[in-house]
Amino acid sequence: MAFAMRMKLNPEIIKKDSFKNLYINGEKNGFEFKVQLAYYRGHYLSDIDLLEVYLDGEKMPQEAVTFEINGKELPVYKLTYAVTEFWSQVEQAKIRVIKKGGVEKGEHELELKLMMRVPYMQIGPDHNFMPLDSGEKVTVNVAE
Amino acid sequence: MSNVKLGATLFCYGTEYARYEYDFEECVKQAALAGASGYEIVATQMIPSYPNVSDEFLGKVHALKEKYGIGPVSYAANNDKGMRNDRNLTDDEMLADAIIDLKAANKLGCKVMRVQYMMSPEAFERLAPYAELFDVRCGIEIHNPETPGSPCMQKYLEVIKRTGSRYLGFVPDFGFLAIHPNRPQWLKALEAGVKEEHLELAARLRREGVSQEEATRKVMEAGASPAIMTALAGMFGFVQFHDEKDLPELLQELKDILPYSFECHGKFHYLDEDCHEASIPYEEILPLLVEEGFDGYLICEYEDELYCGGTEFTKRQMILEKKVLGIQ
Repeated sequence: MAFAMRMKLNPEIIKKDSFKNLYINGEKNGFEFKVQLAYYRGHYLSDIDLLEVYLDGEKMPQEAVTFEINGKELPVYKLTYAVTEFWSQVEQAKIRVIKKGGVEKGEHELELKLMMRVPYMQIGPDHNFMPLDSGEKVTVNVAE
Repeated sequence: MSNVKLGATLFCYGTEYARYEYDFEECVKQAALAGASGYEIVATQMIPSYPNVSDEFLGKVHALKEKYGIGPVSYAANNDKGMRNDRNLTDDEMLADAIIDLKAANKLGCKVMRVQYMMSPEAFERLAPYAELFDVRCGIEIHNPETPGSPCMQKYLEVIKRTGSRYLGFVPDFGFLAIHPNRPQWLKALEAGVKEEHLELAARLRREGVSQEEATRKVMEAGASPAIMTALAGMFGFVQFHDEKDLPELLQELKDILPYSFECHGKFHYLDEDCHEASIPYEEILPLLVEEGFDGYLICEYEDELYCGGTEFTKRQMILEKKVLGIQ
């Protein structure tokens, strides 16, 4: 992979304790977790170049993933257009994934791929900005 | 008698803030405890309602000023030219966003705004009449690896001189006056298993002015651990340093733009217990501010490459500055 900046000021990007099953009509049908931006400042959501969620190595379909900040829950494709929605560095975003049957009790490997542009650090001609890797891969535990 | 006022940017406490160890109030309190008489706020970092200042946040800022005796004196703007995914913002758009920043700075009572050179000299020129209306002086930040004499900065100087506007100027960051390798990166490289002799070789090659590619090849030929790459990239990048013999020339560059400077950033990365900055020669820089009659804020700015938090180093930097400036 090409070079990308890492700045994990807070060692925990995915808040492991926030991981839990998501219920639809009373049944486990997905999961959710919270994530903090791994940088010293906040960003407009339009700075997000890539957001993907993997559970136990399996990529979740993009249409089943949403990103919530400032009380707004957005499908991933809209992040690109969210030029007025600002993600403060100390506000945790909530990511929800619809997955039939939810997640079984026990340990799981959760990976968030989250690539952004540092929009004031131009590193080449034209539209070429410092890539920032704000993703993480962690082991999470589901109690029930 | 010096007219230099001492402040701190709350960015110094960015690590503590990101870890939820400090909230906004604690950052202000710590800046006051360190000895700051005013603070700079990085808008994208600490204004919850960014890009606007809510009445709620303004109320908090005022209450903290009552409580700790210090308020915001400078607004650090980010000029996010790359915030769209498909193209760069145009000059018109950059200008419009900077005017929103001016409103926020004015609401907070800041008289100075740090502007990044993502804003073109042409757009910067068009900012002047708006800056005047809001009574906020806008300074282009001169950040390592740029120096005041860089061609890019000279273009802004040309605009400042031609317009004669007292609202357009600079915010020099003293990181550009580094004459020794960045201490945190050096320490981290040693910790990662790099031998000191290889770091010294890299530093010598940097001083000799060889290219980064050639320096890389030579240290690898000498058998350096690949872990040296981060430190080496730093030596040629944002924390690069100059040969000590170039210092008089660099200080002259600073002197030349000081009359147009609204604020200075006293950058620091590492101070030992004797309050000496390892790479930036403050003992030689600060007397110049007094001699030249600089009348503005010197803002302490810690860049936390050790991820250890800025509380202690900010206190040391303030002690260093007071000592050299002869305050108290």
